[in-house]
Amino acid sequence: MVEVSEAAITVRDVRYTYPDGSVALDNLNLEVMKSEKVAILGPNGAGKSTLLMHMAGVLTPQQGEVTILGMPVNEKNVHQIRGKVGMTFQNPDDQLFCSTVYEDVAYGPLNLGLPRDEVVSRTREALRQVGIEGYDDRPPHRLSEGEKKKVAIATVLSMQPKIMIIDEPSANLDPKSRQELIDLIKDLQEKQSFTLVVATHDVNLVPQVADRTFILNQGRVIAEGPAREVFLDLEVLHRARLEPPSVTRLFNLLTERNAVALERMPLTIDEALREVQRLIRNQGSSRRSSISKKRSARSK
Amino acid sequence: MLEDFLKIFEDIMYFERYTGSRGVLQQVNPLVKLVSLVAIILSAVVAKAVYPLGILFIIILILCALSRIPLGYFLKRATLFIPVFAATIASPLIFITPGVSLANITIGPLTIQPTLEGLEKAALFTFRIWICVATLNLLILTTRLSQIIRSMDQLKLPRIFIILTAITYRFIFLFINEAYRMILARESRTTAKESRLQNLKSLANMFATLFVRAYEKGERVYLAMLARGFNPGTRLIDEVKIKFADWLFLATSFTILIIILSNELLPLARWLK
Repeated sequence: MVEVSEAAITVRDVRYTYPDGSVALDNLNLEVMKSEKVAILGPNGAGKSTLLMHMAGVLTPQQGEVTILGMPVNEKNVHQIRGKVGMTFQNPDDQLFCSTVYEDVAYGPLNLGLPRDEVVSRTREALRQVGIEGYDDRPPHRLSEGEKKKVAIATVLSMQPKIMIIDEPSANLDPKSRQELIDLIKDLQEKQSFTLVVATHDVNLVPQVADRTFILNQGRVIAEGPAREVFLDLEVLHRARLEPPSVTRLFNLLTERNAVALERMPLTIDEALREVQRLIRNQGSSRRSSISKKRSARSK
Repeated sequence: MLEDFLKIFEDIMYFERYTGSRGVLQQVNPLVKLVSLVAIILSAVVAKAVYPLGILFIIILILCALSRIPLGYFLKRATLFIPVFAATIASPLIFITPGVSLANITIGPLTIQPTLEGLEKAALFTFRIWICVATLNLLILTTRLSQIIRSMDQLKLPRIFIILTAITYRFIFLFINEAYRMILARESRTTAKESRLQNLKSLANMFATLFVRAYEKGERVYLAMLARGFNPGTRLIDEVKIKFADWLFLATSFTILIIILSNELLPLARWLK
């Protein structure tokens, strides 16, 4: 029998219109399983952030239904849901509103009504996990953007969420901070196996953090599947004003123009490296075999 | 001009050079310090004569020296706004207080008479304000704002007041910097000298935009607070224990203040009897 895994997040026919009349979510449907790593990819204004806020129980659907860990998002359940879902906002300056780093990280556990010792140990642990120690008394506005993002993640980790939602983790970061943050998210997910939902328009980020990808455009899911499948559907990507990762674009051109036979289309630098090494090896062995054929012909 | 003002404001509000040094006030528990310094301010407000204010002045200077704050810097900082205050708020007292006339000043149909009593009153008033400002400066220079906010929380001040103070402290610099960037962006597109009216108009536009941005940020911050289970009743964390030395500091400051204010307090004691 096939094992049926439980859904962590179910979004059914959800519609959300902003007060100015613009439609953010338009009969949107999706499902995320427990411990799954999912990316929500879409251009600016596709409705990603609005969708995430529905998943975090911050917004309640105007139409349709959102179910988190079996609980429908409604006025009665929101507090319980917010305790189980951790969301970091795109701009850490929205997320961090206390006067020191320590207070900000302790804010969630305090609101959960935990005993003081537990709050302190969770705060310490969360700061350690994101590698921000010795910053306790720093005011958030004196941190770098990368540090702010890490603290923002710590503020959520300290609540020990079952579902972690991260909005645009790579926005506004320099390359090194960006990679550090990606590694941190991957590492945390592997260790704690929470359900991870990342919203982004950074196509290079998706293959690194997600197993499955939803492409969102104008408030609807227009494609869904493993990153590899989604990134090979150029027509869909084009419709959502996206492009495949740079590496994939390069290999697309290579297969088109030089008819190179790839084992599989690379999405990341690591995968590309393996593919290039394989191609070099193959070419080397075919050259060696052709040379040995020539030699044997000459000796005859 | 505005850039300079913003920089000075940030410097005044956010000055933590001396909060880390190992002076006396820096080592006193923030809650005890807040209570004692507020008591000094209240004493300055109720003191009627010059000599209690004079003693408070000396106490402030001693505390400043013990806290390793350069005296020149401290005096400059505490006196910065005093001329403005004296000119706008205290100066009318010189003319409206009845007493021995010093001169007749005629401005058109109006004749005003500065009086000796008025001058004394205005000087005393300004001195009193100086004491209050200087005491607040002592607090700000030796305590991080986050500690002050925590102490207010421990004093069980209304939650809304504490949340507002904390959020103002957190976001004021963000918006100062935002305003600064907007000014720079505007200047980068200003190629000719603007008339005063144009200048005012674009300034008004800028403030309107800033207001809308602040409003939107407020919405987003509120959502972020909700996402982490915002509960207005939640108290802050990490109270620092009050040690014996702190109790001693508190007792000493209150004893000194009571002695200084004996003249003002005696009638009150009699009335209570």
